[in-house]
Amino acid sequence: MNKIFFKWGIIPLCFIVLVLLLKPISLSIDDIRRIQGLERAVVATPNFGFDTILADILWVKAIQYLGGIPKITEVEGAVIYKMFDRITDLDPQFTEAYKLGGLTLSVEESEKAISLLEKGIINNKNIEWTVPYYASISAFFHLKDYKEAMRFLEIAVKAPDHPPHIDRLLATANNLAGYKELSLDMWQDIYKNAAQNYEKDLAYKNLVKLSEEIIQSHPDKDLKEKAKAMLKDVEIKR
Amino acid sequence: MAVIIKTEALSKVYNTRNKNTQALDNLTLEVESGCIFGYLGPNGAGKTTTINILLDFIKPTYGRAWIMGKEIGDVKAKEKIGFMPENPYFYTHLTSWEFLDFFGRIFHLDKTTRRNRTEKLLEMVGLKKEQKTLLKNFSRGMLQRIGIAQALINEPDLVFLDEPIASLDPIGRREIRTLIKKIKAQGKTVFFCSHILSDVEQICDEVAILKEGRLIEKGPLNKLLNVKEIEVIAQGLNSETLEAINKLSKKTTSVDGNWQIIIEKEKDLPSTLDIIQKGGGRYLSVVPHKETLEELFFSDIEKNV
Amino acid sequence: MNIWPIAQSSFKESMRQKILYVIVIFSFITILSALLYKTLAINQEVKLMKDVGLAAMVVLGVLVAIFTGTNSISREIDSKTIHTLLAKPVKRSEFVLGKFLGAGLTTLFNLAIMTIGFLIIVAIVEKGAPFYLLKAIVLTAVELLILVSASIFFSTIFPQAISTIFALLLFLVGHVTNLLPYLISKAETIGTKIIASIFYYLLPNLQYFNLRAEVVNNLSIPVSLILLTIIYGILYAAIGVVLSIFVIRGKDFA
Repeated sequence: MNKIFFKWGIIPLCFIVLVLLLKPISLSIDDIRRIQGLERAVVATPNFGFDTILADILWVKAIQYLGGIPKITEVEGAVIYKMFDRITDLDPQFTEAYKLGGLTLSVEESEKAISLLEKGIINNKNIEWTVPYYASISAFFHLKDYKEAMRFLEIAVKAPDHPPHIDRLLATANNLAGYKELSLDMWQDIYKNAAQNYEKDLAYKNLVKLSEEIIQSHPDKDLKEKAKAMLKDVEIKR
Repeated sequence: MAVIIKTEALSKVYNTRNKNTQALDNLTLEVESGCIFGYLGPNGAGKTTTINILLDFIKPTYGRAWIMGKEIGDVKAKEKIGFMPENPYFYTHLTSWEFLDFFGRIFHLDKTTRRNRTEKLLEMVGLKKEQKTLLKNFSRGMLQRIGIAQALINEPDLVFLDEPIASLDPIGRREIRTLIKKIKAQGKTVFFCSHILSDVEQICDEVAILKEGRLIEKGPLNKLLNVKEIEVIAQGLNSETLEAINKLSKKTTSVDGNWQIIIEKEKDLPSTLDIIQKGGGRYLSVVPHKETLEELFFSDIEKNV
Repeated sequence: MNIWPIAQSSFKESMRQKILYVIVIFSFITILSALLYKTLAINQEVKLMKDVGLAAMVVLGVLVAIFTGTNSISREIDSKTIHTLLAKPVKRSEFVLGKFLGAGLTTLFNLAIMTIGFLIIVAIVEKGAPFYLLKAIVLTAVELLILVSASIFFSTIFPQAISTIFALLLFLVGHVTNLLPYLISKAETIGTKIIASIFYYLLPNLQYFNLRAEVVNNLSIPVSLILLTIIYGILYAAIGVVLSIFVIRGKDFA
């Protein structure tokens, strides 16, 4: 009996144990992938695991396409958007693709550019500052949507290696969007922390201009007082 | 002598798409140790099927078998078995040295033993010079010889040889026959499958004849072969004596002044000799003529048609 | 145990086949050719080279895995060398394990050679040791072991040509198993639903072994994920081996 079991029973037993072990393991793998943001969207382009290489091929094709068109009209805009959307579906961490797509579309198809760059921000927790910065440019200069520009610039300034002009742009966007007090605070910060003389000058000019504007026309009395105090403070220090 | 192979009602039925083939039918057989056992039969008689079952390559449809007291399927029984397959297809990517060394490792032989045996066996089968040649560059005869060598690497008590001679030239055949006799001289049992009767006749002690999966004859070779006729050579026979002899003999002819008398039945021999002596003649020789294995084989096969 | 000598002999057999050298050379040519795309890729040639290199290693690794996997047992059976082996005190389970080990070693050895070549090329281009890429390659190695085991299993039942096709299909379908739940929900006939469900629950999700994009883009990948994925792969490979032993045990080698 023992012998027969050993000969014929042990194999099915091994099989059952192995199969039972699989499920909890695959569930924990799924969990970790979800938590780490490594889960991929179900991609429409079948790639059988060769996603990045397909993304590279489409990237090279996209570059050839961009080199061949003189001007971006609505049709080309749609094509370019679709191309970069597919590339970044296949390789969600392909930062350069978000950047190139966003830059190309920023003037003529600003909304598409923003949507592509935002996809990059969603797919990458620690994306480089240029991606939200490019999105803010489209929003700021082309759509004149300062609140949207602020949203992206706030992401960009979180990156430790962002250049100082992003802070100035954010302060300006705050001003233009109507958040005068916030803008004032930011300019003051920039003024205090400026490393270069021309940066300090720039901050000074903007501070004076904004303070005077507030003092002349802002309805909030407290803010007026704050602006006056700040102007005094800055003048003394200079 | 001990029984080394024993089978009981061993049968194998192959189920193919539209017909069942009975490859082996109720084979009950015992092979005693220390002999060269010739296993005969025309192609397709079930010789290889028997070996395949005994070595556990295929499972019998029913019946049982034992080798050295262990039921087949027991891996331990194979420690003391050697086998040379009918078609010498071996690992062609190995050299003959590596090939023997590989099987030595399968038997867990230590390095020195492996080296000694490999060397000895290559010498024995005459492949010493080719020890670094890849088997894919071997001729068929060389493959047969390395096949015998690998069957002996574990110094087995029982060696299965499936048609070891069939495809060789006369010189190769004689070499292999000598090899087989050498193996027997070492006290091993040889289970020898063949359809070449002259080879079997020359080297086997015992034979079994198989036809369409059934055992039709089995026994020691000298007992199986019947005395066909007895030849008596006599001298100085007068006509009276000749007349009396003619009544018993099949044929009487004069050869160079002697008489050649052929008797068919053994029991007639004493009276024939008696007549010769009483008639004043004398006999020079008495030679029994046995039938050949070939004649036995064909008469058996015919009986069973 | 007779597993190791059988594995070694199998490995030696593969190593004496020239086709494997051709494959390795081909992989180097592929990796190097990625450098030619410099003008086309605008600053992305290093990423492109890493992507091409890793993908080439998968493609060629899969070819080696399936070829050696389907070949290892089929060849023994077809050429009847298995008779000589099984006449010795070798258990059929030892035979299968030895063959799996031999084919697995061959596959990993090839992958290792391609890896060394690839890392050297990347190190020269990047001017630094690119050991982070090993995370992706280790998972590829485990994936290849699954394919070796599956190839061996298929070849215990089917002829080599059919086994090869099945193993390739397993690789392809295994990479799109995440599409199967969608297929199950959209299936129009109950038959399609059942087949898709069977595939979904039986087949390994080979996409788990694809962290190439994440690795090339230098994302942080927890060690626990890599370890669990390796265990997952080894379990699947073990299932293939266990099933192969089951089939081989019941098989007649006439």
